[in-house]
Amino acid sequence: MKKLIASIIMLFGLVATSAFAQSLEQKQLDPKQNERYNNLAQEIRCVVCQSEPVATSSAKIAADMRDVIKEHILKGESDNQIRKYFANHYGEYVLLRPQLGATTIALWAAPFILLLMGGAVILLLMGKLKSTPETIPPESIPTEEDAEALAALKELEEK
Amino acid sequence: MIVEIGHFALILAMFAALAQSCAGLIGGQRADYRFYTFTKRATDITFVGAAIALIALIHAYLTSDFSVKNVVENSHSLKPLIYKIAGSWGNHEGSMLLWALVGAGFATFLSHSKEELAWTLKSRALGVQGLIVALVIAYVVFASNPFVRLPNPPFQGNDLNPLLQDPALAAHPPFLYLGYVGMSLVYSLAIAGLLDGKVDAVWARIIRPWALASWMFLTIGILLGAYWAYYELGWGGWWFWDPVENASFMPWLLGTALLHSAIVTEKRGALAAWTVLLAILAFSLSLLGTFLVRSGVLTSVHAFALDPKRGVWILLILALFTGGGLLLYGLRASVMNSDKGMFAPVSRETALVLNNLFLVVATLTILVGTLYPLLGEAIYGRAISVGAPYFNAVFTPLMSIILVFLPLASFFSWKRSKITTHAKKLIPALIIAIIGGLVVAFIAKNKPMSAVGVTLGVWLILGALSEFLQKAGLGKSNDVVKRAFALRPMYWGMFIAHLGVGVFVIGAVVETSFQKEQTFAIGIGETVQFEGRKITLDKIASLEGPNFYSDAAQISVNDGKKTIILNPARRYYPAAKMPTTEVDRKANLFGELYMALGEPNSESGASKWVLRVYFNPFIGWIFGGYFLIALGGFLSMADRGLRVAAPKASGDIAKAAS
Repeated sequence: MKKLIASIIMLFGLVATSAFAQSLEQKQLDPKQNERYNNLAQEIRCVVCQSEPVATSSAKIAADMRDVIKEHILKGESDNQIRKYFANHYGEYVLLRPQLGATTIALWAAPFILLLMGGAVILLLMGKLKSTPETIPPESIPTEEDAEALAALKELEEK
Repeated sequence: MIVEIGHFALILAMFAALAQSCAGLIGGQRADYRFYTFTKRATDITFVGAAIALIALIHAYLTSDFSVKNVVENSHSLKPLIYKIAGSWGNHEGSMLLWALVGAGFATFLSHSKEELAWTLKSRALGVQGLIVALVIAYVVFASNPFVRLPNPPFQGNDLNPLLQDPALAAHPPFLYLGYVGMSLVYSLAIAGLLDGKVDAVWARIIRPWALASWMFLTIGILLGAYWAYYELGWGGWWFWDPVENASFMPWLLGTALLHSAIVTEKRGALAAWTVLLAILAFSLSLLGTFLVRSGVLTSVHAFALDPKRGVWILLILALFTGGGLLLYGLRASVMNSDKGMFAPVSRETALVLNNLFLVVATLTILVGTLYPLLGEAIYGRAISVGAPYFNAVFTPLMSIILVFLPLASFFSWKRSKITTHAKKLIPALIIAIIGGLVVAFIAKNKPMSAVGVTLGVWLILGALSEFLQKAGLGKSNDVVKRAFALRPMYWGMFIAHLGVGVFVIGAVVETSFQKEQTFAIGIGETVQFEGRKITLDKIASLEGPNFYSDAAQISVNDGKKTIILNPARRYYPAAKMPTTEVDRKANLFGELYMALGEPNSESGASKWVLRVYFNPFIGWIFGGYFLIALGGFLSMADRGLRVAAPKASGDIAKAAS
């Protein structure tokens, strides 16, 4: 029984990552290329996984995709050419960092729009503050009503 | 039998929570003390009922009762004791039961708290909380019942997902839920305040400890999750911007904003409307998180239980509380008198408003990024992925901007302040920070961003220290240390939390910029070189655990001076049919050597093992910084001055005014 399980483990391991080992020889990439390779591997999505980049996936296809990235870097292509290649091959959803385009403009603009809107609202309110005379009152004190109610409650609770 | 008792107790708790809800709301509305007394009793019954239910479920796990479907799906008779207990909430059904119990527990806590707060407010808050708990229990009973029996019980269970069989992850859901669900009580108090028609400084003081507590628990929950991801997933990373991570991070960010705006409402009576809105949104995002995680609309590496039908339920609960809350907010806008506390453009108020602006924009940006794949599908009919590279690109600059201003802003006084007087006090901090950045720039010439990041981190740490020492009377008194220790826990909390932010920034920047990683295929007895170290695979031992088999490597690492041994392993869980990676790590002052053992592979003849080796510099600073942030929250919470309500408050203010 144990032997059977052990062999299942071995089999599982072989199937899952035999391709992983092939991508080990990164020696052909110089340090700069290697950094580009690592960055791109973080940006390209493994197509069979759930929102996982090929860099961390142990699926066979991820290993193949890593090799493709390497090949293209060695061919001397730029990062953008490689991204385009993957987008053409697998569809744009393969890019975890979506390219700026008609369908993603809202995504990339979101932080700026939100910041501008929030900033505008605050400036408007601040402008209102400025126009009021210099009557910044001392501290806000709980109103008398509050104090009365609280005192009443305290009595109630103590009863 | 015990399972049925638990099931029955849960249904009882559902009705008790409904009664609690009705009585609480009526009691508050009619100012009838009898209803208030009733809702307090009902709250106790809800809590006890939910507790019996969870205990019954845990009992089923402990006794490996495989006639219960939930136990079959998530347990195994050989599973270690701690994971039998934790397994009861490590699955979807059990986790929602835990949610309900924690919600009821917070209500009970509020009901029995000795705080001198208006009982109509308390009555209404218990009413709202009762409704939340009742609906969550109804969801558990009708849509995700953990007590369902099987007609033909199997002899053995399928085991809990092995990735979850881990101490940090056993504690992760309870802490996360204490945070999420704590937000529900803050929400209940906000709604109660709106109904009561009093949202003011007193109200802000009442919600503050609850907001602090849930925020602190959420911080710890996220920390445990990140730490688990770091050592269990075996990729040396600690944050992946996964939808589920974002789901916990968004309420945390809004909670952070809420804590800061509640200070303004409490101390100055201003921003009340804004604070209420944040309280409503923080809970809504907690619910949205639950929905995203549980419905499966967003695929995620962490999505353990997916069922679209359940999603509809949660979506309805979400719509009710978000929509209802916002509607009430609109209707009762008049009770939130915002212009009580005026302030000048340069003041602590303005600084906190800007803090809130950036935190909220960051939260909404993460929300947009998380939901964009859904929008893209719906609007453009195209599949779009939004991953870590996007979030890093937008979140980091947003946060950096507010962090640059943090040290200066923390010096500002209320109402009106001057930049120049305070800037002077920070000159030493600024000089040291720039020197630190230059040193890093000199060491790592090709990584300019790391120098900027380190400058920011040092600036934050020294800024927090300067502000704290100033408060302790630096330059005015010879007894700064003694006086520092006499400062109120609240100030210690602020200091430690802001210090933690700086520590975290340095850790995150250094780790991301200088992490070293290499993958080797290594045979037994072979040696490879990694960053000036000789790494030798001595042997691989086959071991047997309670519910797994493992291949444990013995690897000696020689850095020229001494040899250390690491034992990374691979496990296989036959019941769950899943392998896991058990990394081994060795930390020194500057970072951590991290090894993950991959699969064996004998393609090229001799059998080789895949070994991934990382050096993660300053990784301890990341988790340490985050821990300091949580500790800061704890210290603030420990401040008695915060817990004693109104009468004390007016006393304080009178003193401050004189």
